[in-house]
Formats: sequence, structure tokens, C-alpha cells
Amino acid sequence: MSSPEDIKMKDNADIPGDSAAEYGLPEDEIVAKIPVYLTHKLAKNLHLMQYPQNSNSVKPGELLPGVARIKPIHGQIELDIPLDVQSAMYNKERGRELGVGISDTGRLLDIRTLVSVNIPKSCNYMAGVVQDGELHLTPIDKLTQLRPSLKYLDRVAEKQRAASKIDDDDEEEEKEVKAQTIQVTVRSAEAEEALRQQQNSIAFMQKKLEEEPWSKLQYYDMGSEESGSVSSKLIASNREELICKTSPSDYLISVIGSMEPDVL
Amino acid sequence: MPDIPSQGDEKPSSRPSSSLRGGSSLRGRGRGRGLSSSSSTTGGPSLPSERLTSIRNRPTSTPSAATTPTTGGSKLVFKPTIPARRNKKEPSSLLTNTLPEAKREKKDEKRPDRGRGRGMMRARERPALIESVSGPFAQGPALISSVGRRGMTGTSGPMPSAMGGLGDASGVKAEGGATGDSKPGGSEDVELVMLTDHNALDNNSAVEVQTEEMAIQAVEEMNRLRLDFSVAEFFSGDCKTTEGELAAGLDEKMMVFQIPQLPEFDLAPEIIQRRLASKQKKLMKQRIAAEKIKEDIKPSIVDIDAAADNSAINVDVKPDIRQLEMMEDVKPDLSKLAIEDDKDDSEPEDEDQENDDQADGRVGTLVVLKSGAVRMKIGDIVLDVSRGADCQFMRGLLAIDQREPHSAFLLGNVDQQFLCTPDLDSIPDLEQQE
Repeated sequence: MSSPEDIKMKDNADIPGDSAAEYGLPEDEIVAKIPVYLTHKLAKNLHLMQYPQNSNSVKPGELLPGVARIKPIHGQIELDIPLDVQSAMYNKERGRELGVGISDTGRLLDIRTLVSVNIPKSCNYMAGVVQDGELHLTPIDKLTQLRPSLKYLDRVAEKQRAASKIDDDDEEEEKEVKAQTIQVTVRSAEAEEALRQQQNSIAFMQKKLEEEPWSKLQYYDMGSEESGSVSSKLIASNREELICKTSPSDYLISVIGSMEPDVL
Repeated sequence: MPDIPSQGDEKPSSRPSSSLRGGSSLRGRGRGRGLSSSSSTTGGPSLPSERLTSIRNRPTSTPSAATTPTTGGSKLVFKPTIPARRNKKEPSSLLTNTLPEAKREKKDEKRPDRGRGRGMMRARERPALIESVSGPFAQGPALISSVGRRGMTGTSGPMPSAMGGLGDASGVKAEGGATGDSKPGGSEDVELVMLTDHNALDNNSAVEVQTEEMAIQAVEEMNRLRLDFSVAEFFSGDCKTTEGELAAGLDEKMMVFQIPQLPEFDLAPEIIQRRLASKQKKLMKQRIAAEKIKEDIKPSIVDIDAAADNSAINVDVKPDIRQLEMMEDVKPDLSKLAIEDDKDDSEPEDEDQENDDQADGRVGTLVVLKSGAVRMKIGDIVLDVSRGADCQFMRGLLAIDQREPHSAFLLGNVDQQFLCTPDLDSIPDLEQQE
């Protein structure tokens, strides 16, 4: 069916006898053929970052952080994106008020902080780049969203509270009350205790996360040399053909098995 | 408008006893007639049964008599009107009950013989139909009603209480009324169905079926056409040419592919064979080195190397055709060889050895077809490639090294997202599966 077109294709992409029928559409013709390569070189390191606050007309390269931090164990990162304090739109008065949340030196709020949050994957994601007419795929390890971190507001509020001398005792009492409530619940039923333990474990994890200190993260932008060399790892070095161990019916079974029944 | 819901609530609750009360109160509100009458009619179940007797005694004494099925009281034939008809579409009937009230009263005066129910039914039905047609459920109720109504004539359906109440009151009469007397009623039922679209019943259903099928087909076709060409154009630029040229600038684009599961891969047997061969080479070298110390060893080693190379060439990977052949031939040995060779290899050319555990190599082909379809074949699995959801926010690909020194590399902006779905038609033994 499409053999004449096949000949025109690049040789390394051509498997003799390949026709549209092999792709499930016997009446069709192949217009272009791209070999697909898979590599795992960056598989453990790739994160698909989502920036929900920025529209897709902006490229992430335009969002260069001044400072970046990482919690190595949990893999959480924080980016400080600089704000233009000289802009006519910048309200210096408010900037000074909020800058208290960053430091006491009277610094203006000149950064916005984005903190990463992991998002559960619903399927396998793969990053694909084309080079020399070849498509190279690498599995993506995590989906991450960068959300604004408003810790500076918390700090501003704390300072205001301290400044207006609200009783710390009240806060402690509240905490004690809370503690008591928890204990009561635990004693009441074993099931509740188990539930509480679960919740506590999440809180526990959260606490652990907060306890881990930030480490400096070196951020390399899109056009930089380092990024270029890393992105070259997206290309497979091996040109040999891999054999797919999974048959189509087995594949279907694995797909169905991996689906979570979230629809009744 | 608080009136409406409250009234609605009142109706069912007021059915058994307070119909009159409800009617009068409703009247007071000004909606009055419509509601009161409707309430009374809807309040059918036990109300009419009780009312029938009293009505016989005092026909049309109260204004709410309009609500009671028989005005003159002469023919206390069971009026199947209320339960049967209303069942079809309760909400609309409740709503529409407001309208026909005015009409109903007039009609009641005009046709006392027919009985409230029917007259009311007719009056009620038509406005009800009109309302249902105009609303968002214009198509829906017609279908439901067409199914339900046919089965509904003379039976209770959604309002069993109503029927039950009536049945209890008039027993055989009710049923008789339902079946026999309701022939006109039945026809009214039929009318109801059809009147939803103001068309004949047959035309109605036929048109609906056609429309649905056509709509589904149209949507499918549109989806197919719309999505495919955008994906196809992304890769090949121009679907019309069959020269195999890829779209310009494709090299700079970063794509994300969504795939439900990643199949498992093994190294091609050629690689394994090659590694095995090189391993053999090594062993032989060592053996020869151990046996002979003279320089003569070198040529023999070379010979051995040549021999090994020759054997390797048989398994050589370069032409794809051979790959295919070898794949088929060597498959059974794959597992054995893989296990053996994974561990050790010191040949520099086998850099890919590092990625032995992970697949690194060619896994398939992506084709753009003339019809605009884009398919990817991985092994024997055929996947259909379509456009993923359009993302309104910024996305980037970041490579993060969590080990020392901690670094993050921005690899690029995500330009396009694709969704890979397995093509079920191409799975050969799918039908034979359980």
C-alpha cells in the first residue's frame, strides 16, 4: 500500500514491509515516519513543573529565580522569583509592610516565593524531544506544582501579634485544649485511635518535612550550558532495537489493572 | 419565589386531607386557582377517594371543587387523570399545573360530564407539554414519556400511591376506568407523549432517534478530524505530502506524552549476543594468554577476535532487517543471555551496558498517516496519538539532582502534550479473551 512512500523515508527509519496496516489503519497511507527511542538516563530526575499562576504564554525561562532552595530528602524545592520594586505598579508602602515578613531590616518585599507540591500521576508521562528526525522519550518521575508560599504573611501576622501584645498564654491554653481533645478521642474507641494514628502520621510526615532544613539549590536556566548538556541526556545513546516483552493483550491487562476504580 | 416550592411541598402533603385547605390558602396567595386546583389534582391519591363521596353529596359546592374530579357528580367515573398522567413528568406537571388552572375551571363548567380529571388532564397536559418542550429537557421527557406512558396507561408507575388511593376508593371501577374509560384517557396519554413535540408520536421518536445517531456520528467525526490534523501537522507539517518530511522546528519542541502504562523492554538479542561474544573473546584471550607467552599469541588472538567478530557479525545489528530476524530467532534465549550478560562487561563500546537495567534504545515508530491519524507502535502494541488537554498555565521540564551538589536544570518549556491510547482493534486475540 504505502511501499513507494516507504522508500522515500529515511533508511534508518524504514522497516521494509511497513505499511499503514501495521498501525491498524489498512486503508491509510503513511505520510511520515519517526523512529521512537526510549531512554532512562534522566528518568529519576525529571520533573514536570506546573506553574498555575502563570499563563502558558510565558516560558519558564522567563521566570528565573534569584535564589533556590531544596530539601534534599523530601525533594521539595523553593524558588524566590524577584519582583520589580522599581516598577510604577509597585506599591512601596505595602512592600515595606510586607517586607517585615522577610526580614526586619526594612527591606521591601521584592520576591515571591514558589514552593513545590507533588501531584499524583494518573498515568505514565514521558518527555519527548525530536532530534534528527528521531523521537526520544524519557519517563517523567514526578509532577510538581509550584504554588506561592505565603510564609511571609504568617511572619507579618506573628510580628503584629507580638507587637500588640496579645497574650501568649491564650495561645498555649488553646493548644492545651486541643491536646486534651485529642487524647479524649483516642481513648474512646480503638478504631478512632487507628484513624488518629493515621492522621498523626500525616501530620508527622508534615512535621518531618518542615524540620528538614533547606539546602542551597543551584538553578540553571534554559539556555545555560549546564542545562544544555543535561538535556542532551534526553537523547538515547543506544540505537539498537529493544524488544517489547509485553504483548498487546498483556498490555491491556496491565493498563486495566493499574487503573484505580474511582468511578462507581 | 418562595411560593412555588412551598406550594409544591404542600401539594403532596396536603393530598390526603388538607386539599381544600391547601387550595384555599393557595388561592389566597393569588396563584390560587392554578395551584389550588393543581394541588387538589396532584393530591389525588387519597384525596379524590375521600372526596369522591363527599363530592357526590355536594357537587361543585366549593371553589376547590374545580379540583375534585367530578363537578356534576353524576358520573363518578374514575378519572385516571391525576396519577397516570402526572407520573410521566412530575416536575413539569407540577409546574404546569399552574397554567391550566384557569382553563380548567372554564372547561369544567363547560363539560361537567367528562369529569374533571379528563378535562383537567387535557387542559393540564397541553400546557405541560408546551412547558416541557421549551425547557432544557425538551427531548428527554419525550423519550422517557414515550416509554413510560405506553406502559403507564391504566397503571400507576411513579405515583403508586395515587393509583392505590384511587383504586381503593373505586376498586374495580378505578381500574375499569383506567383501562376502559381511559381509552380517551389513554389516547390522551398518547397525546401527551406526542404533544411534547407537537408532532405525531411516530415522527417524534423517529426524528429523535435519527437526531441522536446523527449527532453522535457527527461528534465522533468532528473529533477525529479536528484532533488528528493538529497532531499530524505538529509532526509532519503538511499532511498532504508523502515525502516524509517532518515539521520545521520540531527539533526545538518539547513534548509530553501520556501513556497509560509503559511496556517492559528487554535488550535486543543482538546486543546480548554481542556482549556474550565479547565476553567469550575476553575469556579466550585470557586463556590464550595463560597458555602461551610468546608474541605469536597476538596473531592468534587476532584470529580469534576475527572469528569472534565473524560470529558477531552474524548477529550484527546494523540492518534493521537482521534485527527483525534475530529478534524472532533468538527470543527464547533472551532471558538466559540477559541474565548472564547484565553483570559484567568491560568493553568500552558497551557503554549502554550502564543502562542495562533500564531500557535504552529504539522501541518503536511513530507514523503520521494521510488521514491525519497519528499512531505509535511500540513492539506489537499500537497506540493512537491524540492531543492532550490544552494547558492554560505555564509548564516546564526540570531535571533535579537531589544528590550533592543540589542542582536543578530547566530543560525547556512544554510545547505540546499528547495522549497515547491503545488501539483495541489491532489487538488480535482480544475477542478470544474472557
